[in-house]
Amino acid sequence: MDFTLPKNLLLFREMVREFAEQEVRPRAKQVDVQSWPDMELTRKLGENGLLGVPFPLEYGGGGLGELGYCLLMEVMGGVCTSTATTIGAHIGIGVMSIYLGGNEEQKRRYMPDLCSGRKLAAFCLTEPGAGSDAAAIKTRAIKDGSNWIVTGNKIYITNGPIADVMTVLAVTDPSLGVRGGVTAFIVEKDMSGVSVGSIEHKMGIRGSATSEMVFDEVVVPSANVLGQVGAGFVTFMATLDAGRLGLGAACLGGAQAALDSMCRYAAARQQFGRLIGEKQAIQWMVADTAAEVEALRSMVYRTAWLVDSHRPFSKEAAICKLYGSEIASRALNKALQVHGALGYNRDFPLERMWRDARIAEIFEGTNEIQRIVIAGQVLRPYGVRVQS
Amino acid sequence: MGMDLSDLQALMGGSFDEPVGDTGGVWVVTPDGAIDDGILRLIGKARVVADALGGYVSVLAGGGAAGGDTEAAIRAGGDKILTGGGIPAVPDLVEFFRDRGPQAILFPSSELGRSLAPGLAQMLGGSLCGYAADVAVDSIYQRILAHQPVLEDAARITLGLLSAPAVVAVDTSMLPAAFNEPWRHGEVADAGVSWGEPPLHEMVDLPSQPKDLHNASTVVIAGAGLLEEAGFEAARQLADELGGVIAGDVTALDAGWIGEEQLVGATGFTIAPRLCITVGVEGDTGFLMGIAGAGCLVAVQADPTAPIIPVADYSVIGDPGELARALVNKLRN
Amino acid sequence: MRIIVCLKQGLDPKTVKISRSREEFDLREAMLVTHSEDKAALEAALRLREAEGGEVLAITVGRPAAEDSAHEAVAMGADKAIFVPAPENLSGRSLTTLILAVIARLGGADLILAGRAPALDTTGPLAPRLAAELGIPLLLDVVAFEASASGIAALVSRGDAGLRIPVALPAAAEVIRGVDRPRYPHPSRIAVAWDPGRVETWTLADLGIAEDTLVAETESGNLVLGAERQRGQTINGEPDAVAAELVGILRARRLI
Repeated sequence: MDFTLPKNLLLFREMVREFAEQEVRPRAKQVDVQSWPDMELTRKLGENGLLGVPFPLEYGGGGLGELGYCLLMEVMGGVCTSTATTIGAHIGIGVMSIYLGGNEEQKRRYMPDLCSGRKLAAFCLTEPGAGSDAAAIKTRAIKDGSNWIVTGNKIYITNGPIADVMTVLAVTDPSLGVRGGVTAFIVEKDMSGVSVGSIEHKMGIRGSATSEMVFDEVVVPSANVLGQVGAGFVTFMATLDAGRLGLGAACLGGAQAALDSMCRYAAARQQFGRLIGEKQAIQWMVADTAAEVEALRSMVYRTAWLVDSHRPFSKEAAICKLYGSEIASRALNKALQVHGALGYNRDFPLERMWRDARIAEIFEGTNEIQRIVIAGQVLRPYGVRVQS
Repeated sequence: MGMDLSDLQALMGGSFDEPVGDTGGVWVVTPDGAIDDGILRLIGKARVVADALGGYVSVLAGGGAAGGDTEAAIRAGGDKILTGGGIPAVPDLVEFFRDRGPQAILFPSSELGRSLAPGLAQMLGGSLCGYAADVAVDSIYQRILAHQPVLEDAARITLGLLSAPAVVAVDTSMLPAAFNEPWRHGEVADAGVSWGEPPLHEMVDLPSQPKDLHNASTVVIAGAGLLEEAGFEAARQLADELGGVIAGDVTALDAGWIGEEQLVGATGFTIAPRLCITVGVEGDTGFLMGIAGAGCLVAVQADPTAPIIPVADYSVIGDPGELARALVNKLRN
Repeated sequence: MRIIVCLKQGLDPKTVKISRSREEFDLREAMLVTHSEDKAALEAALRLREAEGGEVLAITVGRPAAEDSAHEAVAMGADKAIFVPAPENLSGRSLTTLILAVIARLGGADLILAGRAPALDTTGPLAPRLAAELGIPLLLDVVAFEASASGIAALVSRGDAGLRIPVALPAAAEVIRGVDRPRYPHPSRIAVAWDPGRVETWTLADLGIAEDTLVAETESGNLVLGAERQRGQTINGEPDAVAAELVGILRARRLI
């Protein structure tokens, strides 16, 4: 069993680290303050091939697979969670839905622009009445000749305001429910009837653009049906499955950054005549965090290997997201405690990282849903059916 | 009986009976003929090396008849000063040194020196140290050693130069002061060579990176102890005089003296200038983390118990504004 | 147009510390990296290829780990890289001999580039040695190249100003880092940089060089430590006297 990263991924990780230090870290505070992504940064991400990392070279991607994507998210998650979120929504669920569900023509039509960052992607599933209960969506698509007329509202859409290409889940046959009655569509920003609704003002990841998306009788050609008519739910659930791992990797980066931060402070701060790092209370916080980070890293990298070697990965990806989000929150909480009042200061990045981390337990499938997914996978061989 | 005093006479500044030999010895090459303080220090170093090896110091000065102060070169330790016209190229020096069998050839680490030393070592089959702070002699093996500074001169690697000639490009500013010994004698002669003149090239403006907190080698940080704008102005002038950038702590930011991009302290960023001067800063933990990379830290502070004092390399206790003004005055005069 | 770039792998100076007690380098956290100024040389070569066409070949000579630098050069955009596995502690002359043999076997080049000598390296600068042996002009402190109808010119740094020097090919140049950092290797190139054929390994035998002919002309000896950092020194007195003393100290330490 060889746990070393292949040489090309080691070089890739170095490249991402340098890019993150040079281009992302100096902007991290500003995107949070301005509550909007830095579009110049997004352009640079695209130019440097960081918006198509896992996808095959033939579609304009980076050819580095799921493990490459996880390394990207790990580095970015430790430097600027807002930027990691923008990247993750674009690659992990936006472009991924086209890659997993699209036919050859659609992939060739959309993926080169998306992988190069010339266009940005968003994934439109959630609605006011359909969060965890994704099957309760009401957005409607009605056949009209060779087109579909899509009407509905989607909310909490990451990258919504800046996306050029969106994948949208809509009901095509209300009588069939999710098994056969729901279809995925590729909708473009410039199609008549598409508009950005209200902007979400968030506790954290403020540097990521999140909004309502309004579809008012949008005419979508049947060439833009993603996958089979009626099979949209399966495509979307498979996409979420794949995207979970990227989020887990970003949480890994955040937890590692928390660990690094608390060690730096413990080595600098003196009280009672000694460095606080020499006190057991602090040492145990460091040890607990380090143990969780190491376990999470092994989990994330192994799950990426499962994906890249085409093995089943649903349970493992759900564990990465569940475990990763909780570890990151715990790590940042401990880091905040170690820093004392300095960590509470808005000039210092820690409070921003703390605010940014909280969403991970909520979006991309709440942690409660993750537990249901994991339980379902684990109990199935025993003959127990888990409510989805 | 009769001791052979020729070596002793050589050490004392040249024999009056015999002309200074043309072979062996330590050579100093100043390709454009400049004999400034740096070259004089280099001649002094050559003198020390030649004395240890038992030989002469010869200076080869290009640049033509205008030349430099050859008398100073002799007082600095040169036995023979040879002047030539034009600026040599590597083949010219190979030709010059081919039959002279020098033990060592020292160049200044100027652009000309750096362009000639490595090629000369290569073509003469000698050893090279491309950047040295010092040159010495290993007394046991009678071998020439160069000391190459590393990590901002935190240490020096001793490099034994095994093949003759030992060719060294020396950073002359790191050498000890030049000798000035009026009792020395030496000769000045024509090198008998005529080298080419280099062409003049078009001067252009190169794009330069604007100096900021993260790339400046000198940073002056203004703090709460300055109390008022006039004090901050003195700190800013100090930064200007030193060719560095001005920064400030949170108090300076709140007072409007600096902008956010000039803030040092609990920002999560650590700066690493070669020289960091804080003026009126107490130095809480967040601030000290922010300047942890400074090569040399100078704290100008009124309070001798401030936490920054034991961390600073040098602390100057007094009124920060007054001391800043005094420093500006001293630097201007 | 063919441009050859020589890249070295060495210790990242930011990760090297000094052990005062053992009077030697502390390499426990040390990382091997491709020398950054060699990457600047590669960047200059790639930009010139973009302007003028042609090919960029990279050469790396070193221990087995140094092969990563050859792959990195391909990932950054070199058409091909040659890696020569070499013994440890190669001296400057021996390194020059190997590089010259590779260049000869490749059939020469129009432009040969290298960065300045890496800080912790004792081999010294490469470009001037190559220029001397090949009898071609040498340019130092090149920041960038410019291509125009009248040919290629080098922008060279001289103190605060710059010079534009026309380049008569073939030539060798020592490149320093300019304002723009070298490009990041593109992920799609990183993905294939280890594929067969991108980097060729040429052994000493392939070059017709026997290892025992690579005799070192220099020998690294012990490390001489600088003064230990002394914190907490205070200067007291009247402002003018104190200012004078401080300025004197900082000047002596060459900090101002």
